[in-house]
Amino acid sequence: MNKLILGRYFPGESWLHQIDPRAKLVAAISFIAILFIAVNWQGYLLLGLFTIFVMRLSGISFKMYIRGVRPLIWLILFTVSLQVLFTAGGTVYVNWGPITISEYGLINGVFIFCRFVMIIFISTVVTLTTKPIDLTDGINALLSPLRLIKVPVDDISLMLTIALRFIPNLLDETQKIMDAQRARGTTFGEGSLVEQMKKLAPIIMPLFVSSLKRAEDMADVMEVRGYQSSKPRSSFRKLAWKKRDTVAIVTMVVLTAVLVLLRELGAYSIY
Amino acid sequence: MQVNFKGVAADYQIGPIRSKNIIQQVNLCLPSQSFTAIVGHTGAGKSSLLKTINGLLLPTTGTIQVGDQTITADSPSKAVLKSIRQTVGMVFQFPEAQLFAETVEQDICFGPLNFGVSKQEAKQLAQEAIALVGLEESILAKSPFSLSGGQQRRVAIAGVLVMNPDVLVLDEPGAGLDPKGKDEILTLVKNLHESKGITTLLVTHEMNDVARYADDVVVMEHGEVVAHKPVHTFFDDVQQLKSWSLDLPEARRFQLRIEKEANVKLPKVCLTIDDLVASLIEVGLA
Repeated sequence: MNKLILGRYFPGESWLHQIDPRAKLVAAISFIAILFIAVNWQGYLLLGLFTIFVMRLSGISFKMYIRGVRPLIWLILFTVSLQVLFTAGGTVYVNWGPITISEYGLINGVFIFCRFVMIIFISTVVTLTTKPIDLTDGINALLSPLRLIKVPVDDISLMLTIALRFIPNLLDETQKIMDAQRARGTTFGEGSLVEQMKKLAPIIMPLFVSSLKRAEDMADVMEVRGYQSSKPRSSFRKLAWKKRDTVAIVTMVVLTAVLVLLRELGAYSIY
Repeated sequence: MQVNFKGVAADYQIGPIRSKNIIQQVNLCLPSQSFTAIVGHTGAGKSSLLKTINGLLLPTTGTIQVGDQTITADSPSKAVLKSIRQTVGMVFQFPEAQLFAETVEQDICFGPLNFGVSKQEAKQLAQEAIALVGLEESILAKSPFSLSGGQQRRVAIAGVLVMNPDVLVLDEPGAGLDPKGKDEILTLVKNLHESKGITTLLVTHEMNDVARYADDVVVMEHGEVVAHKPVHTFFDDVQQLKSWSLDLPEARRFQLRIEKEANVKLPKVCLTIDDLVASLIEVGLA
């Protein structure tokens, strides 16, 4: 239960911790977008180095990031193997009906693996260095133009805030209920898949019951304290754009430019 | 069944962060068929100590002996854990949170079925357990979520008692109940302790309950056991209690007041109102 790293915040004072959440979100999203500009090994090398640089900058040990990838490794390997098995082109090494392992397939597989790992690393950097509450503020700010087309931005960000806020409570509660059921003789992580799934019912059911109850209580409390979603809301925390935030955005622009250049220069040398 | 802690220390590992020891150097022997109350402030390690008894929290050093089974730091075998969990019944704080099944009967049968009891036998046990906690047998067919809070608590306790534990561990079983409901549950525990000889361990903040139900008291402070005394000796030393900032039971407080005002000394430490009345009659004050 405590092994999940993605989505966790690690307090710190690093340069990355201090960047405005808006800048961080824009930078992370644009990084994921420009991953698709890279088509050759030079591009991937540059992106890889950049990722490692950013991870170093966060002041959090690499071990932690590796641990963040681990729960997703099967998903990644599955996607990669699909790529490897079903991409044709170049020298064919194995040919077995519709399944071929070819040069292009292997290269593609390696690229996709790198892409996945970098996406996870970068999003882990964002969540590890940003307080959940700042993250929702950032999302709220970035979504605010949508207000013009009547998207309920404030409601969405309130939902996000509440959801993030209660993750620790839910984890605590899960732990408590698991303890109680283990004391009554269940052992988790044993038996066939169907058996293991059946064993989840004694955890999920109480969790649902208490979550619904808590949601109801919270809605009551908010209403009693006069919450109305239609009224304009002020914010306690004000986001302030600083020089380092501009630096972060400019870095992303430069990175994008270099990638485009590499793509043109590399002239599809491998592809 | 005797429970024996030898040099036990434990901590919680949260992700990569290792917290400092929640409990440390606990040496404690709970004799067979004793009724012990654990008191101490929030965060003193009471609940964690309870969890080490059936291996929900493994010690980092030291050993815990339950009957002839032993839990040590290097993870004990599943068979050992299972047999310990069968002999140690554990009622957590707000145990109604563990209810999950469609009917009360299914929920109570959950434990016995996990320990390999046949379905027929489990149903039989469920009927006995529901009577034990003072509920109607008709409630077995109802959904646990349709019951009142007090009833849910009793059903949850029945779900622990149904396994016929030799050691019963309770973490504030009366929390959040009205005084009457709380007394009923504690009386039930006391009766079970007396009739079946269950070794009982009760965590509580309420000194009146300690005085009324327990035979021995364990005081915990900063993860350590600082005292383990019979209840009368424990409430005798008022200065010591003050240094732990623990309260006195009502009767005892009243006794001290009377002793001060009337300038007499009653022959014994009075823990209940009945005790106090008897003592007052004895010295001729009432």
